[in-house]
Amino acid sequence: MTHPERWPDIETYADGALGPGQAAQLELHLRECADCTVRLDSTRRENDLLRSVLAPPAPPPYLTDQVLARVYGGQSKPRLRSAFSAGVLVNLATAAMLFGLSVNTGTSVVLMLLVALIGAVVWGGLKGLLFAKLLQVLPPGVLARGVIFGLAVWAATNALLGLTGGFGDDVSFSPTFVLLGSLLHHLLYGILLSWLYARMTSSTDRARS
Amino acid sequence: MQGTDEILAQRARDGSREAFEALVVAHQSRVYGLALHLLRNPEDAADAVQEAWVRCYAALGRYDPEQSFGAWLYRIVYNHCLDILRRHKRSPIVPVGKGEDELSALDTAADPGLPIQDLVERAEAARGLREVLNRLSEEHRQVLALRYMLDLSYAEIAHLLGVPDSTVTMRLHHAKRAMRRELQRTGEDKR
Repeated sequence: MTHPERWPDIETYADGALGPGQAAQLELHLRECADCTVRLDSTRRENDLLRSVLAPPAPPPYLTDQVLARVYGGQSKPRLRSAFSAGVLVNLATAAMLFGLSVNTGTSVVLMLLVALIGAVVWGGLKGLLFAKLLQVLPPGVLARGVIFGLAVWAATNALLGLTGGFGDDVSFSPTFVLLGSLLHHLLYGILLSWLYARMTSSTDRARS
Repeated sequence: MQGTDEILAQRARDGSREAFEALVVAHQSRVYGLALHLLRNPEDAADAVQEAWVRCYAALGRYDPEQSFGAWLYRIVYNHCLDILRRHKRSPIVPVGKGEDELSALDTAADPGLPIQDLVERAEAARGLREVLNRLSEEHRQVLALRYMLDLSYAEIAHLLGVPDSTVTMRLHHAKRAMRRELQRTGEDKR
């Protein structure tokens, strides 16, 4: 025998929203009524189907970053790990380039490789972290950030270490050439670092969302 | 008792950016789902989500940690979407689940151990149900979405809609009755 008058209570019970007294009464009834037990099972299956059909859609991958940028006034949280990795990778690339130049100077290949690797991890990683820390004051935009950061590193490096005359005793360049070459190198370095950091952080966000 | 969200909300209120970001990541899908359900336009929904989070952040100082953070947040989103709807009257653009693959739409509920026949049957049932949901009244669709998309309790839905709990109970019951009636009618039409 069916009990349609109990169906609203059965639905509320299946949602876990029936009051304790009413729930106890219904449970007593369910022990004796097979029809209402079947009704409860079908209501639960119906709820599962509703949950699957109404499952929230995936938001656009850029949305979380946009929300954080709006909330924090255009500055999303710096990702130190991404910045460190980007710094190391960019330094490895430039070290490889310099290594190619240095092979002709007769320096030990193993020594050069070792210096390039240690330099990339330590010096590159530190510059990556510095880039992340400076994101708060750097302007938005990959190119602008890269150019300004490159200029800052170039200025700091030259102020601290001074300009070297060349790559070895037998290879020397004019001071103007070194100055311009160093500037170009740092600008490219900054832009590459900024671009790589943006790529790495956006792929992390996509994976998380 | 406070859950993870409520603790995160308190930390975000005290200035923790990490805590706020964790809340955004955890709730983004449902917040976007609610906005899309109400506004029915993906671009408008994305804009509304951004604005709602900004409002949520600004209002964190008034948030009571004894209250469910999810329910509090969804109320902000819901009210913001209603403001938008009031400002611009527009026709529905995206019906429920349109364009989604039927089987993938069942991912959240499907048991990978189920035989393929059962999965196909459930996919067909989901397609039928989706069509029927699009034919329900706005009031019925809304209450079903709040309950089964956002998983809000009856009390939370009542608070969000500003109605008594008993109204939510009756509205859900009527929505399901209308849904079954429509499903039955669809089945008879196909025969």
